[in-house]
Amino acid sequence: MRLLRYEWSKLSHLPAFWGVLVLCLAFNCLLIGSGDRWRWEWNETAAMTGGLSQRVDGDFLDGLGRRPQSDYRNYLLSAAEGMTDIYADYDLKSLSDFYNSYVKSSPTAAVLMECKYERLAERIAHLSETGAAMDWYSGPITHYVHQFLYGTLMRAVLTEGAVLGMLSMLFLLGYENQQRTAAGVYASRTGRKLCRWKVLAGITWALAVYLLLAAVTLGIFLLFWDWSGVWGGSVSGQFNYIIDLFYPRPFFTWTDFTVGGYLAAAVGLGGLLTVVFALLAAICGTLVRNVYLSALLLALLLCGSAAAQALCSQAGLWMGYALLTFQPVSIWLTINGWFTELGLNAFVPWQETVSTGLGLAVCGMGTALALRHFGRKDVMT
Amino acid sequence: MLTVEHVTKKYGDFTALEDIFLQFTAGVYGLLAPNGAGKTTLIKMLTTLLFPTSGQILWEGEDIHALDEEYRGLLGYLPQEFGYYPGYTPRQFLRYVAALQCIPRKEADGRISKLLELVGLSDAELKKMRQLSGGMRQRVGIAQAMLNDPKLLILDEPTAGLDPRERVRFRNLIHSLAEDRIVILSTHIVSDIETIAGQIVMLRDHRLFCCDSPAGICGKMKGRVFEVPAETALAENQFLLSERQGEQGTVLRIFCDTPPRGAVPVTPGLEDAFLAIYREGQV
Repeated sequence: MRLLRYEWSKLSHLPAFWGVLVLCLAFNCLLIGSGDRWRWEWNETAAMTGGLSQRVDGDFLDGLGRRPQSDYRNYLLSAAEGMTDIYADYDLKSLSDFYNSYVKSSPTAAVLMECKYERLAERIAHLSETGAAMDWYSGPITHYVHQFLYGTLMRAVLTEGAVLGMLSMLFLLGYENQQRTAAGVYASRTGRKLCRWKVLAGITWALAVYLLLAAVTLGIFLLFWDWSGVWGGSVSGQFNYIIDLFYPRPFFTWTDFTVGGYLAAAVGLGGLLTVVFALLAAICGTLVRNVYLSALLLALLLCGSAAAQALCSQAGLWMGYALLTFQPVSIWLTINGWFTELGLNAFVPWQETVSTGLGLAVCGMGTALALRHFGRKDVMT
Repeated sequence: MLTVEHVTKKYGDFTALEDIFLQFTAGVYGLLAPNGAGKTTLIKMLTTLLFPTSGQILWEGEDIHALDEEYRGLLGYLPQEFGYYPGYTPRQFLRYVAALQCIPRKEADGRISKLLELVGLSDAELKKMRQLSGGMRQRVGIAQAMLNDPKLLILDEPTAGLDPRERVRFRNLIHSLAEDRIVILSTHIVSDIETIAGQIVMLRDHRLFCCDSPAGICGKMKGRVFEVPAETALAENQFLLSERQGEQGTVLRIFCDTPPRGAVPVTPGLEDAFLAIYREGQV
């Protein structure tokens, strides 16, 4: 534990780190400001529907009807009155055909895609039973605000957390070489096992940084956006939809998520994905002790895998593409649709969760092997 | 007892050390060889930083890599290039080393105070390492090597960067630390070990050349070291060791089996032996 504290202390005494963290938070504040075009409408909707339940039923319509007369009240009322259970007769075939047509040249990928949409049909039937489509979330502006929160803000938080986490890990693993203390440190009783503490310190640090960024950014966001009445609503309400490859569809999630539950799950999965990125950095940093070279290797690995995925889709190699959708970068790219069917970006239900779990297992094993390799090789100083 | 059993270390096609056999018991050992002879490679193998290509190193009969942390717990090591954390004070740095050596905090604090006093750094313990002179930092290095009261103390070029006064101080310090433990002191500076080492290990051509007492090594040179006037022409088999200013001008100190006319035999010192053994750039 003492060694863990020392490793954290090496990071916390790095002025550049705090400088970058402050810049990240400042950037996030600017991002929050950039959502101002939807803020009035969101907050006005919250004020109009305050005290009403999330389920749009007779009580909801009566309650909304009793609000002071205004153009905006009338607009919300007409939107609410026009709500129907869109899941009852949802045409899934056109959606599944759209994506199946892309991957049909690869039989295995096509089978996986078909299976995914078969499972989705069951989910849609369930959503219809629960009446999730009739949840208000926050009315007609929902899609834009939801995409702003997850596609912009949470993506920024995850990117910053992952990048800072990876750099912190590389910094820790290259620190002794940079300070020329490697010979003394690795000849101590702890020896090369110090790298285990470094990896543990790097993982916990990355997670803490991500959670700090998420807490501060979401805290500031919620300070200016009134979300008080929406936490219990279903995230699959009919005003929430997602557009992928120009194909809009409702926000079908693989389980029933409330707005609060979805935010918690997204923040949690983001944390785990941050750990996956930190573990990738741990592998590179353990195998290549030079901080700059390992950073270069990591950048090539991440960019290369994303480029490979794009090339596979261009070349019609859909099975290769399907496999590459499990990589962390692909999961990061789809953050605005996590826990939904994700269109062409997913070949199995819960792909982001499965991929993150696989990422943790594979990168964890990779890190263990890299540490084992380091324990058996010469320390060149 | 530490035994180096027929150890060879290769880097690709390059053989840094070949078939080294050595046994160390309590006492001070001077590892004396020019730069590039393989001293640091041997020391890094003794400290488990490098793995032998063949052969093994045994501590009390057990392979040091198998003993792992148990062995390193007995080891104190001052690397050739002693790195430090510039923002730490000597006390903070020693506390960190104590954590690496798994020494409990309270126990470590007591030892750190004693060691800082021993190396004459009590007054500087609150200064940042970056503010210390090279000699003071080297003394921190010696303190960190002594922190776990090691049974085996390995010091690689410990006097590099020290001024003459600090070198003397260092030699005295090593002398006082040498009881009941193996001290291996690697250097290419003869005066560092001439007076304190009981045994001198010399490497040549990446092999063990000798392991003997300073007197034994000098004894082998007896009758082969002479002084001649500076203008004396040297034959092919007469090697110039050094020059010095005598009462009648510059005199040359030479090594040969058959001295020139007028040569005065002198008592060989360890430096003469070193220069004779590593003459003509041999490593």
